[in-house]
Amino acid sequence: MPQSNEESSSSSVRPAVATAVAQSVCQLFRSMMRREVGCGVPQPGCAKLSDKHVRATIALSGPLAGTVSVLLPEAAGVEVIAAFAGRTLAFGSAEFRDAAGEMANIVAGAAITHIGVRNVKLGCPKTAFITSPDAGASQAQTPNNECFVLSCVTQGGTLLVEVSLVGAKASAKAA
Amino acid sequence: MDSTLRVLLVDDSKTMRNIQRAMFSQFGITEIEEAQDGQDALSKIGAFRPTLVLVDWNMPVMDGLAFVKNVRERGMTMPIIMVTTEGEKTKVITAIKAGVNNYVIKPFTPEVLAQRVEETLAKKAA
Repeated sequence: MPQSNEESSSSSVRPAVATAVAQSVCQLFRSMMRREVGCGVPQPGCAKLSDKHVRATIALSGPLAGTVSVLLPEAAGVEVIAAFAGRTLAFGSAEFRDAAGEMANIVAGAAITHIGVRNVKLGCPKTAFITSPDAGASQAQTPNNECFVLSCVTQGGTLLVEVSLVGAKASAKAA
Repeated sequence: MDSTLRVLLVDDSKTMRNIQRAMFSQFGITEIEEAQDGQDALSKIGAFRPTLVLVDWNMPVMDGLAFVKNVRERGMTMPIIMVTTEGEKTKVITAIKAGVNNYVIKPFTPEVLAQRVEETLAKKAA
């Protein structure tokens, strides 16, 4: 069962970013996959999946820096990627990871548009096929990063979207 | 849609190229070439002679904006549609100034993409 790795310290999830990411996930599912998806309340902490999964990450730089990652466990991932790509792709294959990377790219790009922050640069997708539980531990969690996870439920299962914002905690403390 | 179109799809994601290819195939368009970045597209454009180009913005090696500028500098006038996640207004304007004829923001529905293609071709023919 997907879950977020909760932090012990209180973390101020940036509501605008969380809302924008949820909006972009819904927009992607409704437009390109013709299906509904429900995103839960953002949970502080980085994503951790005990099952094997594919992680696709987009780096953000500029006024809003960090990463947006889509994590696809096998059952949900195969179903979602088939809906996106138009055909079933082997879980973890290069084609599967390419599709996951494009999904992450679209989620990140649409979220930036919803937030309305200018001059944010999107990196090219980086993907990984995580086969052991600990190997997927996010590198997104560093002392100054604010990390949160959205669980997105669709037919076929649940996928996770992890957002890590560089320097967000330091900025929040200073404010 | 004119089934004699020769379409060049430029995107670093094979999945996205497949999605676009499927849409054009539905309209009976079979002359479709693919490129994974701007440089790859430039190497194919002379031999393929596309009558329509769809190009992503963010790609490794050569991005979509550099590709468009390069194509226009060579005097090529075929319609180019930017299909990208870059939704910022200033970026849309930058792309149009560089020579892009139309702009589609991802995510898109097949209907929106088809409509933008039709619009672009109609304007070019006018």
